[in-house]
Formats: sequence, structure tokens, C-alpha cells
Amino acid sequence: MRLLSLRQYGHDVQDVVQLGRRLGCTTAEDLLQLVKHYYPDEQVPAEKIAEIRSITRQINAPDKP
Amino acid sequence: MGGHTSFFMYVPQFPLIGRLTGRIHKKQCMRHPSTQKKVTDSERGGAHTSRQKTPGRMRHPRSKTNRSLYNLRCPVHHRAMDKLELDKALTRLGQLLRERRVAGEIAVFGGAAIVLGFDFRSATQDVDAMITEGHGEVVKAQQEVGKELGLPPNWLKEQGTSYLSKHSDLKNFQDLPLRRPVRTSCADGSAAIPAGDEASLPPTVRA
Repeated sequence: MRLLSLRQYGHDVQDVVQLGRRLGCTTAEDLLQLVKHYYPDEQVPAEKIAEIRSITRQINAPDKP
Repeated sequence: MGGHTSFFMYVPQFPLIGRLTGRIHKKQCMRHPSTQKKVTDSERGGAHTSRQKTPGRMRHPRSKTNRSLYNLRCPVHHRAMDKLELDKALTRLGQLLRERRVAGEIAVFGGAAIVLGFDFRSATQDVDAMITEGHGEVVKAQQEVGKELGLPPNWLKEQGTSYLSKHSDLKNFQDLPLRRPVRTSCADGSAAIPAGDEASLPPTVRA
């Protein structure tokens, strides 16, 4: 749900980063597979895919102290 | 001189002053009933009268979006709830349902589920939930809990259910250990209710 909404003004991005770390989903393919599993009929637009790819960089980045 | 300067500094910020004091929030907060227009039968073509949201928000003259500073988020209708407050509200909800001997079940998802199940987020503005059992009673009880604890009027809302997966399986929703008599579960599945007297559990609220 968070991956599909990805609102810039809310907590969506931070939530996805933290949840992705906890679930061990560190690549964009992992995250997109999750979306496909729960929302099989949903078409993910290219902009969202690009956003998801940038979020994976945040997931893999080391935690700030 | 100083006073003169400060007068001119504060004049453009008048809406901010209003925001802080809450004096003008009634006209501009989208969640306040006064910003919702009553629609008559003829307008909507139905048998019932309902309220419909109207754009009662003030928009900054140079802003092209609705997310400007001028869209006031009043402290009454946009108050954040932390984990403790959520726990308290859901517990009270369960107590009320128990007193009425009504079975209720809610599935909490979204930000509230994250606040309840994880430690990386501290607060949420509302509780996105799907009421799966005892809908009418749960809605009535949540309104009472909101008034009692001073929560926003629609602290437990169901609008988000349209974004849920169509699988509609609640297997991922597991019980969260709150204080009895509430039984809740959370979408993260991180916690389970202590094993024991399930039968003694009251009308339940699962989240």
C-alpha cells in the first residue's frame, strides 16, 4: 500500500525504507514483487518504479547515527 | 523603533497566529464540520441528506497546490496520536464493547499499524482500520472514545480500506498484546496475544 501511494509529504518513503529493511527487501525487484503479489491487477507507472529504485538506495544506505 | 519593526514583521504572518491560537481553524480546517456543506435531496438526487466536503480551505495566492501553509491543520482535527494514546483508545474501545456485550473486530493497517507494531515511527494522525465485525457498535463506541479522550472526531476511519489488497485475507493480521480486555492484531505480525483464556476474552477488537 505504501509503495503504491508513496506520498512525498507524508511518512510513506520513510516507512517503506524501514519496512524494506525489516523484510529484507533490498532491491527494487523485491519491492515490485511485493506489489505484484498483493496488487496483481495494479499497473505500476514508470515514475513510481523510478521512485522505488531511488528508495532502494536509501534502504541499502547505512543508518544515520 | 524595535516595536515598530516587529509590528510590520508580524502582520504578514497573521494566518500563522490564527493557526497557533486556533481562532480561525473552524473556517479553514477541512475536517471541521463547518467546512462541510449540507447537500439537499434535490442536489444529490437521493433520499437522504448528507454532508459533503467542500473546499473551505484558503489557498495562498501564489500557490498552485493545496498543500500550502495556508491550508491550516488545526490542532483539534489533526492531532497526532502516539503509541500510548493508541493503546489507551483501543483498550477503552474494547472496554465499551465489553460493557455492551457486543463482539467487535477491527483490522488496523497503515500508519497506526506501524506505530503499534514497530519502534521506528512514533505517532500517527488517525487509525486506518477495517471493521470486520460489529460495525455499527464499533463506530458508535469509537465516537464515544474520541469524545472521552479528546481525540479527533474521526480518529478511527475506514476510508483507507479501498486501498487494501483485494486478497482480503486477514492472515497477515496477528494479535497485538494490549491490556485486556482488548485483543488487537497488527498487519506486521510481530506480536501475538498471550496464550490462555481465549474464552474469557470479551467482545474483541482485533487490529
